[in-house]
Amino acid sequence: MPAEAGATAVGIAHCAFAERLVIEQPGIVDYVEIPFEQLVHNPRSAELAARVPLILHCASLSMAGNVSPDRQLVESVHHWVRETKTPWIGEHLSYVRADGTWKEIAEHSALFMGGADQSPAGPFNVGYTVSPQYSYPVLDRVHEAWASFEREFGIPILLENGPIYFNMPGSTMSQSTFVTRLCEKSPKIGLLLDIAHLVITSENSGRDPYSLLDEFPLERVVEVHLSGTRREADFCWDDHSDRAPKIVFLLLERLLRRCRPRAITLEYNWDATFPRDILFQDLQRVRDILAGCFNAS
Amino acid sequence: MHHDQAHAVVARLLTDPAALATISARHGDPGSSSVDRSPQAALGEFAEVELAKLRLFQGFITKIKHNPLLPILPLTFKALRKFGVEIEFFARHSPIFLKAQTQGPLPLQTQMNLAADALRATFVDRSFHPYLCALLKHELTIWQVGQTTDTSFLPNRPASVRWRGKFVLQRYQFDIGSIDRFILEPGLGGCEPNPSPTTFAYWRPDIASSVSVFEVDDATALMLAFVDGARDLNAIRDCVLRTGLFAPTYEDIRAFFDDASCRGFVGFDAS
Repeated sequence: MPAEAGATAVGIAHCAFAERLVIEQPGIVDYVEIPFEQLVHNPRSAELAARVPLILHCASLSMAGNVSPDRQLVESVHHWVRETKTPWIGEHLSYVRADGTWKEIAEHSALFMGGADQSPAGPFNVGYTVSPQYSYPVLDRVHEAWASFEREFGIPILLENGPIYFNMPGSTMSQSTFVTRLCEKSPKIGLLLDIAHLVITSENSGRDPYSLLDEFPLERVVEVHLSGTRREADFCWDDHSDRAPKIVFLLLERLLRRCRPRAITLEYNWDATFPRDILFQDLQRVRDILAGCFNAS
Repeated sequence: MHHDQAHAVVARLLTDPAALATISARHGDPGSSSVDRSPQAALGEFAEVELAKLRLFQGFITKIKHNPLLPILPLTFKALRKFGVEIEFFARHSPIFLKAQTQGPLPLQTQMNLAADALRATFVDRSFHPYLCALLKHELTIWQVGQTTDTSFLPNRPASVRWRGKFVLQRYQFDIGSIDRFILEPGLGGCEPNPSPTTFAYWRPDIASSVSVFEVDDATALMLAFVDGARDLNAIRDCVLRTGLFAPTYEDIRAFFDDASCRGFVGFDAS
């Protein structure tokens, strides 16, 4: 991983063509970011480590939720931390599971009577990361989970901002304030800033993306994600099957004027037929922006 | 709302489309009595607009879980995007999909079948359905021919004409090529797909996993349509003559299938 202090590596998220890409064009990327869930599904994906450094990404720890991952899952993450020799784990600042047996759920059991089927009391597994309630109790929970997992795995856990598609009931602060307060609680917390997620949040909440970017504690950004976005039904959606729009690169440049992350990952990993020429163009575009920001002096 | 309650309510609504629909209907019904409305207090801050967003988010999650189908139905999914109905389609499909996968992840074939049924139903609802149905059928055929492991093409009699691989003919009322171009064009303008009937042949050789697709003329399609692994050249000629569309001689038939044999499509022993 050529990401020592003062350097920035450029990589891609693992996708169907990642292995062929690094075989056919060695050096085209500095690393591949690989999801823990992919390794569980197909352990052979880790063989890529023989050709290119790997960074572990995760969407299963449910750090903002009240259902902790079971011991087997935690041990599996730990196993892949060792196997991949990842310098850190990027994990979503989100929850995936919620304990439906929590006592006040009884209140809304009444809501579902006479209409929808009565589902079991949970826990509910959404199977996808959901941005949590932004409140102090959740902030404390995330901080505790972050500290616990860092101790467990012995490497940094970077927290990734999720895209916001709806207002979670009970939130008392914005996502950027939440992240800032979290970083204030510990000087060691590092961030994985997903710029596409930030653009989605800004569009869906009517905020200016530049001022929203400035609200985050950018000096804590260790890794950056770039991907596409798409508008439909009056909303902006995450889209890793399309190239990143211009605004994502403009925000990257603005970010790089403020800090130097150690890694920038292009996430073009939803469509196995994603055009290679566009991937190459955008890898070069990222390198050009880096050169413009850091080599000019 | 307490954070755990908020998380649980949202998780419940995202994993239970029926519950989300019930709650949304109650929110949207101004005639509900105060007794009927009272349970909504538990959702408190969840306005109707947030429930609508949740439904779309549920569709978005379902869409992502269909990423493995993207390489199989690339243009069909591009069509959904072109017409701006991708998220809405998956929001409608969520109840069926979530119910089907309650016992765990679905096999790709099952997921594909469910999605194909839902796509057909969606396209039938819309004015542009004829060519989108044709496009879906075209992409599904490519996939099915590539996947198939059946041996129906094996000969029953030595002299019969049999496929050397899997071969499927499909007739369309639209030119598939013009549909491709229309879908890939940016925006909704441009030329509408050309309503000209075409027949496509889909062939996967015995020894290859890739599927070749080519357009065939009516006479070729007719002769190939009677290859079933049982008929010999004379029987195929009889079938063609009975259609009244062409009147090939035995020599015509023989020359046609000799050529098809040289190209590797069929095998037969006509000695």
